[in-house]
Amino acid sequence: MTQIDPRLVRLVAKRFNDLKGFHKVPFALAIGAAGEAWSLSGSELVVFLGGLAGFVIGMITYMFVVGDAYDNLGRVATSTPSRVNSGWVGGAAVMVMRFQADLHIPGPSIVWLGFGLYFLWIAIDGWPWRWSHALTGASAVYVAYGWVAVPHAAPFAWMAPRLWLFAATLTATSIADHLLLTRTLRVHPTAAEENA
Amino acid sequence: MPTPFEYLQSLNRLVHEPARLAILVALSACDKADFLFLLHITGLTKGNLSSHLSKLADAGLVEIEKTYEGKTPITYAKLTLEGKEALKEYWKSVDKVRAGMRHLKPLRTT
Repeated sequence: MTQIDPRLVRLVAKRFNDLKGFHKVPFALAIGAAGEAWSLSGSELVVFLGGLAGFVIGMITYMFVVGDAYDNLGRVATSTPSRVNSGWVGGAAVMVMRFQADLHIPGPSIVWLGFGLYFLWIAIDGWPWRWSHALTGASAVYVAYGWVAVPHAAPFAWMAPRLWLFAATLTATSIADHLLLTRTLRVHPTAAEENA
Repeated sequence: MPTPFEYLQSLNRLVHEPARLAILVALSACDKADFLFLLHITGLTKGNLSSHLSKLADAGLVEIEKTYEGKTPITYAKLTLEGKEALKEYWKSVDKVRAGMRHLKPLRTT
C-alpha cells in the first residue's frame, strides 16, 4: 500500500488525462516553430507551414518516444473536458485573434490573456503540485501584452522570443505534469507482472 | 453529546480501512477508473485490490463494469450514490473526531 496524500490521489484521478504531459509537447513545438517562422518571414503562409512542421515533428517524436506508454497507467473517465475540446478551443482562438487583428481592437491579445488565466487556474486547482503552470500563465500574459507594443504591420520579429518563452514554459510544465503522474502512479513490480 | 471516542467508534469500518479509503477517494474524483489505474494508485497487489473491490461492491458502495476496448478486457469501478454518501459521512465523522480531540488535554502522569 503506497503512502500518498489523499488530496494528491484526488488530483491525479480528477486530472488524469490532463497530466499526460507529453500530449502537449507537440503543441508547444508548433507554437515555437510558428513564432520562429513569423520572425523570419512575416508571411502568414510560412507561419502556418512552420507551425505545422513543428507539430508534425512533435507528434512523430511523441509517437516514437512515448507511444502507448500512457495506456500502461490505466484508464480514467472524467466528465471534465480536456483533450476532447482542444480542437475547438484552438479553432476559436485563431478566429478571435483574426477578429481582434482585423477590427484593430486595441489592448492586449484577448486569446493570450485567456490562455494566461487558464494556466493560472490550473496552478490554483492543482496547488501545490502544479504550481509551475503559473509560469506558463505568466508567459502567456507576456505574449498578450506584446500585442500592444508593436503595430500589426511590423514584421512580427518581436513575437518569436515571446512565443519561444511560452513554448519553453509549456514544455517544462508538461514534463512536470508527466513526472507528477508517473511518480504518483509508481508501477509496482506486481502490477507490471500482471500487466505483461 | 457524543464524545470524540464515540465518534471514532461510529466510523464506517468498511470505508475506514486505508486501502478501501484510497480506492473510494480516487473514485470520488472521477466518473470511473479501471483496475490498472487503481492498482497503481493504491500500490496494492492484484489479489488484494480485487478483494477490496469485491467488499465495496457487495456493500453497494462501488459498481463494477466489465467491458472491452477492442480485444482488451477492461474492468472499470465506479462509485455509486450510496458510496458517495458513505464517503461524505465518513469525512464528517473524521472532522467531528478531530474537532472533539482539540478540546482534550493530555493527562499529567507525574
